[in-house]
Amino acid sequence: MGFGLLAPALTIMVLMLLLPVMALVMLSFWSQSGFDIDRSFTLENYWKLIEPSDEPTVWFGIPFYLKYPIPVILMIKSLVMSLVATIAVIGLAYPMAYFVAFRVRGNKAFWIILLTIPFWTSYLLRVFSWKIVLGFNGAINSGLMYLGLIDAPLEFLLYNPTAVIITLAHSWVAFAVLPIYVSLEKIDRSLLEAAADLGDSRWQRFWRITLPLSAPGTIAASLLVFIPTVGDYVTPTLVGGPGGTMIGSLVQLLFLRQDNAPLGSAVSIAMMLVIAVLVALLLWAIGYRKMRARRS
Amino acid sequence: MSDGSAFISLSAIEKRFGSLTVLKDITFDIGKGEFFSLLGASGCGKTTLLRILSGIEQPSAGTLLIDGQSMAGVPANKRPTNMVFQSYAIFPHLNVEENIGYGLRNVRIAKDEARQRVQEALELVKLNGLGTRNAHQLSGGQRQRVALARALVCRPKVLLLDEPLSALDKKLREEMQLELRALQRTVGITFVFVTHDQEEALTLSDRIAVMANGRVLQLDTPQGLYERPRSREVAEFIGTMNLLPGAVSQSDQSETMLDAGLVGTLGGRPIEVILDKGARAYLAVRPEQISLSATEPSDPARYSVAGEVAEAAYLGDRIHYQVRLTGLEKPMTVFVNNTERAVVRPLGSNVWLSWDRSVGLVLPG
Amino acid sequence: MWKRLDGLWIYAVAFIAFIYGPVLLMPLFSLNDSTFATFPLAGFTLRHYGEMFQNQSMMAAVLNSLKIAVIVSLLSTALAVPASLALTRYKLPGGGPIVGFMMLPLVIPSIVIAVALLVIILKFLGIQLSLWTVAAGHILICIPFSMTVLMARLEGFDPSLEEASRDLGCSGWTTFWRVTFPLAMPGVISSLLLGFIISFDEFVIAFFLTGTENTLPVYLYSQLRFPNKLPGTLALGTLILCGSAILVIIAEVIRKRGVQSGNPGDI
Repeated sequence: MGFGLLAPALTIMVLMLLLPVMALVMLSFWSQSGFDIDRSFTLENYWKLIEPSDEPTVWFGIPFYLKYPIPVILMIKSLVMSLVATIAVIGLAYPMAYFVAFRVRGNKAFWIILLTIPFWTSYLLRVFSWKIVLGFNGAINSGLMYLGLIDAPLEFLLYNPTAVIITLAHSWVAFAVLPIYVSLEKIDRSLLEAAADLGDSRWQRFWRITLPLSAPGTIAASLLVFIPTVGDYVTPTLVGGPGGTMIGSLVQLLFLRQDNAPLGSAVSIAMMLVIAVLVALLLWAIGYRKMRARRS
Repeated sequence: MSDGSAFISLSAIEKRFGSLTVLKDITFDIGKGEFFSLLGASGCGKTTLLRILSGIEQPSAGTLLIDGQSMAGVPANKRPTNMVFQSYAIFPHLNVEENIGYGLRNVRIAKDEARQRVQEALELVKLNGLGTRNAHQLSGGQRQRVALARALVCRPKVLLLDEPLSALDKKLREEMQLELRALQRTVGITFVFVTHDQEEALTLSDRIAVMANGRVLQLDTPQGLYERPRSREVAEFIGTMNLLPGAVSQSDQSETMLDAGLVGTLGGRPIEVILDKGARAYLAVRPEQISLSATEPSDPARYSVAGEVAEAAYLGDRIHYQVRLTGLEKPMTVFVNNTERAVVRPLGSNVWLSWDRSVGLVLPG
Repeated sequence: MWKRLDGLWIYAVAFIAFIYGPVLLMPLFSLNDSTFATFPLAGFTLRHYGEMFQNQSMMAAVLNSLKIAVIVSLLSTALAVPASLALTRYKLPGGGPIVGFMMLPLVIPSIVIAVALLVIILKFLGIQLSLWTVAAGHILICIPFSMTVLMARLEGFDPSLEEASRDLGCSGWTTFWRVTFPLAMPGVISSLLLGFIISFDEFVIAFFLTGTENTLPVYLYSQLRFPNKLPGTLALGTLILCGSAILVIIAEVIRKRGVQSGNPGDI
């Protein structure tokens, strides 16, 4: 009975998620020859991602001894940019979640809805709005010039990694508030009263009770932001410029422009594996399982 | 109340959840019109047994007959039973009348008659005029009444009640106990009542099945359970019981003598089996059956032992003492009624405890 | 509520200003009588909105997006209701991993979902890209959202409500329609609205999987490249923002109202 009810949705998910991902994996072991796909098994695509070369490509002072260094460099760059954005998001979201959980009295639903609306409204438009803010003729430049603070537009605002990080942080920050808020809200208030009764000051209570007990929600929030942003495509395309491209842009390029779907597939698979391994390592390192078990 | 015939008949009922066995070899009968309680600590299987009666759960083995019909394969919605849930399960999207009339939509009766029956049910549980209230506007006691009316309006042959009073405060609970008893006499159907509160079970029931670890320990009337517990577990679960450990030194049909070490040799009535000489056993005496005096009573019809007051609690209508006996690890509990002559004895004072030779029971160890 | 105007309060207000500020520039400049989105403002006008409605290809894109969003929200909710029931009401073996699998689209970058679907559709099945392929991709990413909302709702209410209904003589099917469905209604409505918004606003999957016809975000994206079309784009963006904001508010209010009613069985 239970499986009967589950079957339609599960079938759709298998057909439309599992099979396509498997197809992507298969394709990554084939190769592109001209306009056709050569269906013989090859590791060529993956080899290409790590094929060494004697001539180093230097990026930010780091030499990469690779023939085709772009995927590796973009992967590292994407991970670093996502990580910075995630740290910024958590740093910004935590006090807000704390505010809603502990300071707001009757009107919590209002604040939650206020924080939820931006997340559900078009991602494309929210990213685009930063283009208006940061652009050459954008709000900041024209505003500052109008006020007479600068003579010529500041060119460094848009089309660089910083613009991508700011935009990513802005797009995801409201989303990160919710899981942190939920974990803060679940904390039994009498624990804090007990800590106060045992002599803890406000800060000690925060460090010794609130922060550790809200860790599971905070980690969940970080992952919910970090994982999708590594592969983000819209933000680097709109505000990144040539300097702000990320791994998602490369996937798009390989599939739609350079017509090398097998290599694009290999890049996608490699990207997912790298993210999965990093996340698993992180969760293992901090003992997330134990942390969650302790809470329930 | 009970006419003695088996109206509900359980035989060899067993229930397993995976590898966990929660009910084992449950066999007993419940009479027609009986107020029957399943009593036990949480996790003893009493609620599972009730849910098997209702058809929400199926037994893993065994047979269940209600009014002579086998209930094997009969789903909850086709059984002549209705249930009052512990959480009351009042449908939050329906008002009081709609809640009460919920089950009547599933039987073929005219709309007018259904309305009539809902009104009667409202009167029966004293909720006249509250029919259009919403579920969330009701107090705990009112919710309980709605749950009762909703089950009774279907005219079940058996009403099942899963700890219906546990969510109410003490005063309201006592009030509802009386009402529930009166209600059962009015409607005259069989009630099967689950509770963990032994006082509640004693107050309400015609008969009680005391359960532990998925088994029925003893099935008896309230008086039978209190006065003739057949095991140490039942003796300790129903009321307060003093248990003095010892070894059987001599036994016959009418009296078993126990050698209780430094306390002395004491006797009591054997329960069910006559124990072998040397077997471990307990002498069980109720606290209210013991009298306390400053000097040794000389009545040969009474056993008496010397002790020292370790704790005294003044409860108004009576005084509870803990009296320490030489050679006994646990102090004995004594209840003394606060009559004119009673004085609160100071801690450390030497006292004599005595009880009639006929009141002690010998329970297997 | 404003009694303690301390650092945290100031932070909260600044935070809201930060997340709303940039987005609100869009309506501001869409009403500005200038081709460029620059300060100082030139004057109030509604002409960008007027021009927008005369744009045939844009109206076609709006229609396409509406069609897809309605189909997606209905289908993903219709699939998610029984699946959520199964996962909350029956102790299915492997229930945990199944939920994990169904939530995967939430953490897979949408570009990977897009190319994976692109590969199977083009290289393996040989189906033409169209609005239908976009809708299929959208159903995939909407199911986890619908399931989250519905499972939270179904887990929230007392299981003895359904047992009581069975006990009072209802079959499984009648119980579903008389108890489960009415109580899950707020969840169903939020699921429908969220599915609609997600599909209506989604860009990456639509960008990869659409054929010759555009959805609204894809159309919008193509317009971003033309600076002289900026005001019209801003006007359109403003309308989309307002539309989704209203739907989100409705969805959230319905969901919260269900949660907040004082009924223990209703939580």
